[in-house]
Amino acid sequence: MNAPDAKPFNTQFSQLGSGPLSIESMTSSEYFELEREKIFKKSWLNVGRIEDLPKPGDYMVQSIAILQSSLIIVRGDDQQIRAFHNVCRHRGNEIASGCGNAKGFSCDFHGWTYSNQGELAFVPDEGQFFNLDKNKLGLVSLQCETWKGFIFINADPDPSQSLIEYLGGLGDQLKDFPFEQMVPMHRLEAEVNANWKVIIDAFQESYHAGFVHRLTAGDMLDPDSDDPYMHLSSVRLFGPHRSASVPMNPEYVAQNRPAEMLSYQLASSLWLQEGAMEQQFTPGTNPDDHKHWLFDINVCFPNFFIDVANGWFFTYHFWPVAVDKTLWQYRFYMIPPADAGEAISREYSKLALRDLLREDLNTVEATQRGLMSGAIKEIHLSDQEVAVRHQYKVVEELVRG
Amino acid sequence: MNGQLLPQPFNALEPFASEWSIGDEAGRNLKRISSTIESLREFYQAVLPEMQLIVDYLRPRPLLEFNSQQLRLLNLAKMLMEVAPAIEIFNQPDVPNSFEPERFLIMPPFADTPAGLYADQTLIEQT
Repeated sequence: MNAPDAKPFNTQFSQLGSGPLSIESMTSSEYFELEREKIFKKSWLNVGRIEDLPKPGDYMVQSIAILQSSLIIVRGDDQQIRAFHNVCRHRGNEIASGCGNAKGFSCDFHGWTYSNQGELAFVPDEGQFFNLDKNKLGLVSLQCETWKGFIFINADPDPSQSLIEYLGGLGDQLKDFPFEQMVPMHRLEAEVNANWKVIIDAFQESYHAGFVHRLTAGDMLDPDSDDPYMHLSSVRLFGPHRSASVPMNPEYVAQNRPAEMLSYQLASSLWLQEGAMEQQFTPGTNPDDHKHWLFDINVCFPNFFIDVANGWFFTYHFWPVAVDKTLWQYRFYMIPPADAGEAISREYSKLALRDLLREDLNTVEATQRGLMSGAIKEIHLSDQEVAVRHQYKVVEELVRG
Repeated sequence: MNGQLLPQPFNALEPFASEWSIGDEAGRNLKRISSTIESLREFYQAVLPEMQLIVDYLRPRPLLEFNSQQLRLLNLAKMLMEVAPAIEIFNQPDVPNSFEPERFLIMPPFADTPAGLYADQTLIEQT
């Protein structure tokens, strides 16, 4: 048994405790239903960025299983971005699908037509209805706010906090990051047979890196240093949200990887540029000013990540479908390439992370199967897995509260 | 046009152009993981020594004004990057011990959004 000496994150966040955690919340369908009602139907949820809807009339329909809803996210002719339930006020039919640009939405069933600002504009054969007040029969809206270009919705008609209040310290930490200077490079998606929290756990600690990523990123760890396991350099908790900083091996040189090395020589790339380790860090990153900082994991509760690094960021969405099924989405953003050298460099950046993500996702379905087997009742977390511990504490308080 | 697929200084790479110059990431990845490691290595060994020349040739030219030969050359260079991890890291076409590629969707940056419908955004994807 190892000595019960004080460990840094347990000391910093003693309220989280240090004992084993029950696996009930990862395997119980009843618990999943409580999460739906007490978490997802009451939290601010990200549904994209304003650049997804550049022009008035641009809309996208998103079916969100955990909300049991199809939503229309639309930029109105007045430029305001709104969110509506995709439900006709006449008899409940869905009125839109996919994405596009429209002055309004017309129901295929009986032709009721709504403007792109949600007002009921036209009812065919209106004289046959009884005291129909079209002013009160616009599309049913959801709370919708934006922050730094990120569009959030809230299914609670009367949220206890505004979006900026909800983001709290996490929003403060990220407020100077130049999101608006970056563009998406690609989008990845997978339906994963695991609980949403189990998948999140795989992305909010660095303990796994030396094992899951031993081929792709093993050299980022320096076995001869005083940090052979790539320990988190700092962790911050902001209410339900959390942030952790990951350092890298400063001696990393992509040995015997000429194409990877070329990507670093051509542009400020994924991990480093020649001689760039000591460079000025992008605002909104590396909050504890670690000399060998690599990137920050930023978890916006409940299901959204904004991980930031020097010159790039990526987002994850973890959309729960069932207790053991989750829609995982990823978007990777960089400064647009100014020339072919940067374009070739960025190509390596995006595919290197993509290969690494397939390593990450490979573990979680096996983990879920292990949990569902009933063989174990609890899991055991190290001090390095403080973010995992925090997630279950927050979820449990909301579900039981 | 002279019937060549690549700009004239890259005649030596012409035999690879029709098969390996692929315009989208999903297509390049599918080509990589459905090829043998031997054919990936042959492509890698032919293109890697030319990469600096390719960059030097393409870099001064405005990205959004590439002609079809230049765009093919850029896509060939991107294919080299796609193939590189198979040769430099895995010694096999696909990532070992990884999530099944058939269930892992690689999509353009603005997939499923109105922005993806606009031509100027498509150009970002191409570059």
